[in-house]
Amino acid sequence: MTVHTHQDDPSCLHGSSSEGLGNSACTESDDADDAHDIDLIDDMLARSPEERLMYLAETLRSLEALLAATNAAIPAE
Amino acid sequence: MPPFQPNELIAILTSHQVDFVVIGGIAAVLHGAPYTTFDLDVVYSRTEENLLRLEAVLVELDAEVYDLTDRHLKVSRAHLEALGPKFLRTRYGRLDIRGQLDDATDWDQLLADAEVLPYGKDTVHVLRLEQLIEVKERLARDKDHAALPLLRATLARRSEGERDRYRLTTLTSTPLSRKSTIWRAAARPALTLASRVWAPIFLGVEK
Repeated sequence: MTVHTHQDDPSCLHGSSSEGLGNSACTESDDADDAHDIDLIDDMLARSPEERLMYLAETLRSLEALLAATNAAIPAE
Repeated sequence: MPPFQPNELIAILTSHQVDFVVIGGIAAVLHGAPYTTFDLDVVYSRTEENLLRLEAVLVELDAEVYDLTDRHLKVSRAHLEALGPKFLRTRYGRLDIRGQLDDATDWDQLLADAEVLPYGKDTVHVLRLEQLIEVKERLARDKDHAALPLLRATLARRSEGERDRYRLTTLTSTPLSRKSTIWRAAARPALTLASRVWAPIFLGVEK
């Protein structure tokens, strides 16, 4: 993992692809995706079981609404 | 960290008429995969008009760039014009946006082959499951390897389901099996022959 060091340059996004930013001065990490996942894990571990349940329930409610809106539960004919 | 709410994210994107294609885990869920994810991944169109709409969405979502050094950066126009991935924190959880797929397929190319699902009065474009599997095979990260068996199995089951539906449709739509009137119509000449030719002969013989 290559960690970016240009902290004073706001055009350098830590954890994004330097190719994507078009800024060759930025040495970026492509592991921000993983780091973001680890943040989520830490966030969940910091919650009580009840809080985890509430967090997950909120996501599932939204997924349910998304599936209902897209009718995705019914396979396309 | 706010709960991940994909429906709210997609609702805002569609209400602002942002041109995007859903990729990643939510695409898998929409294709029926029993899969869980905590981010919404989209490829967006980089036309001027669309970038304006996307900027408005990101303001409404209080979006900030996920930054390994924990800076709170807003997304600039330069970021959106760039092709690469932007990992964002929003009020509805994580939103990952990019100008193209890992293999440089951009929005225009994805759109042509994407699956279109209804979304209220609008539609939402979703990467096909076959393409999603190809993307994950290319990326080959641990989490992709973990997801691939499930996605392949979902694709296989969907294909089997479609074959079954096709067989059922073929059977039920075969004229002879579907319409009893057709059976009767087909039998009519034989019945006529029997009643007009053979019956008098037999009856005559009996007489």
